[in-house]
Amino acid sequence: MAPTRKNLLGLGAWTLLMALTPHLLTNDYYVSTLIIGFFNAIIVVGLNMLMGYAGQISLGHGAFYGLGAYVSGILAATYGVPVEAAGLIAIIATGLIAWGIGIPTLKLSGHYLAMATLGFGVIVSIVFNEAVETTGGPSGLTGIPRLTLFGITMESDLSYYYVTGLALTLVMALSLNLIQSRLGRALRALHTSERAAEAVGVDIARYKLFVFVLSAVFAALAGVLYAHYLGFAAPSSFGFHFSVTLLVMVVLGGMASVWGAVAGALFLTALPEFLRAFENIETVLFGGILILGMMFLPSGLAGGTAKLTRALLGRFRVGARRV
Amino acid sequence: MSSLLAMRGVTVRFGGVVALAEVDLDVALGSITSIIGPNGAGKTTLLGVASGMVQAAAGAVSFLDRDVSAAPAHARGAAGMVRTFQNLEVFSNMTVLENVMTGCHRHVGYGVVDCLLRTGRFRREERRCREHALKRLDFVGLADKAESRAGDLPYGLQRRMEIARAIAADPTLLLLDEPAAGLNTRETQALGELITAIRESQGVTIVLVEHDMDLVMRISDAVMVLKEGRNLAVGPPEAVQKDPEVIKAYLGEDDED
Repeated sequence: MAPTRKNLLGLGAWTLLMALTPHLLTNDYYVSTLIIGFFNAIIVVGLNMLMGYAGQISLGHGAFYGLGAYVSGILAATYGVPVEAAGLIAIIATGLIAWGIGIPTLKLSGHYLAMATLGFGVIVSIVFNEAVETTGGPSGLTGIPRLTLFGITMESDLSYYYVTGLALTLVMALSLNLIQSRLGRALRALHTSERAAEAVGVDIARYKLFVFVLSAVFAALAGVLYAHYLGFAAPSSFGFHFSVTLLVMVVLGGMASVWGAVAGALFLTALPEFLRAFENIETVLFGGILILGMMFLPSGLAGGTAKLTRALLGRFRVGARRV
Repeated sequence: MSSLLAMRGVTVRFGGVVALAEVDLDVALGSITSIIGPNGAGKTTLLGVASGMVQAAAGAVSFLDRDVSAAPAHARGAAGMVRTFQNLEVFSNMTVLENVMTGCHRHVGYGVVDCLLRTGRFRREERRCREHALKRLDFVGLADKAESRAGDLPYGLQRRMEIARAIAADPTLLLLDEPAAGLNTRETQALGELITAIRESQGVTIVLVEHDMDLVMRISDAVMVLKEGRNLAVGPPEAVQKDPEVIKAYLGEDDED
């Protein structure tokens, strides 16, 4: 099957599943967990392209997420800017900041981006905590209005679920398109051999910068959606710890796979909720599951599922031949 | 236009070691020009300077009558000077076809917006690129391997795939860095025919860095001999072969051929 058709089929199945899920859930609380999972998935799809395709590590995507949330939240709550405009400004501003960080660091080969984004994350965290007048300090920014699109305010969780789900689907479709193109080939190429990519005319610094900015823009989009959903933003949600959680989602989901990114993000968002029943050993179980995942699924959920499908299909075919 | 690629007074130092000293090279349009010399003579380094991957301490490189001394490697690639590598640089995580399609990079005409939204132009250009890549794969005899993972190909075929990737760029100048390394006699024979065919059918000018003397002498129009980072001799293969300096410095005391 052509990769494009496979993508279309996958996206169709995903949209259907996404649309039906809330009606199959018995508890509204699960819907809100899924919404948070979608925010994370939007970030992780972008981060996955940066890590899995361009081979660059960012330790600051929590901060880009936070910038999206805070800039949009402050503009809407403090200055009364309409939510759509506030969100758009936040996304563009975050993209520009990422561009500013990327230009000097991505010209160098090696993991300078990881260091620069680590430092950037710390600075952003300090600003969120210390600029009390603007950000509300450690106790957070309150009174952020709910998301409004074309005059309709997304009051119910269900409507918000669909808006976020649609945003995620759009991000996935754009990413899948990008990967199956000249640009995606260039990214995968420079991941294996920068020299060979340059030899056929790929401007590697430019492509790394592009995907880095794109991933920051996705993170900011998630941040905007977050702020106007919870109506509240606190520095602790966007710190180093969260940036690392995002990396874990990428790796557990499977590098260089859009579907893996979504699976990893949703799985790791839902897991703590399920583990809540085991009050005292919750963290131990969480860690244990991660270790098992790394041991038995070295190529992540995406790679593991693909392998399993192949194995099952292989067995099925062998069985059919015997009959 | 006298020469397609002209290098003048190229000097390269690695720490205290002088790898190249005042080396000149002229590559005539449409020719197959070979660079030979004992190990450590600086052949690959010279290719690196030409392609912009090795920084020269002094000297000038001009390509298509333009001074490209300061141009980065990707800009030279995009301008039509494409190289292959002595130690294979295969995009092992991609299929053979995708590898070769990556070679089309410089002449695929669509932008970011086209590929985000899959516009008509995107689809047309992708189809053209795909067909172009398949043609090049067919040219090197790898058409049946298009969907294989590049990393799974045997060594000799990976070499061919690298050449297909390079010529998929429709280069003006193709720099081949020891393409016969690791190939057996039969494969080397076929490689010689392939290189000649690339020049004949696509009008590509070729620079060949090679150890295999039979191959070099059979297909080259001009041979340049390097020794310890300096020009030793240059001329048609027959003349270079008879040059007493060359025999003394290289052919006589080195039985690598």
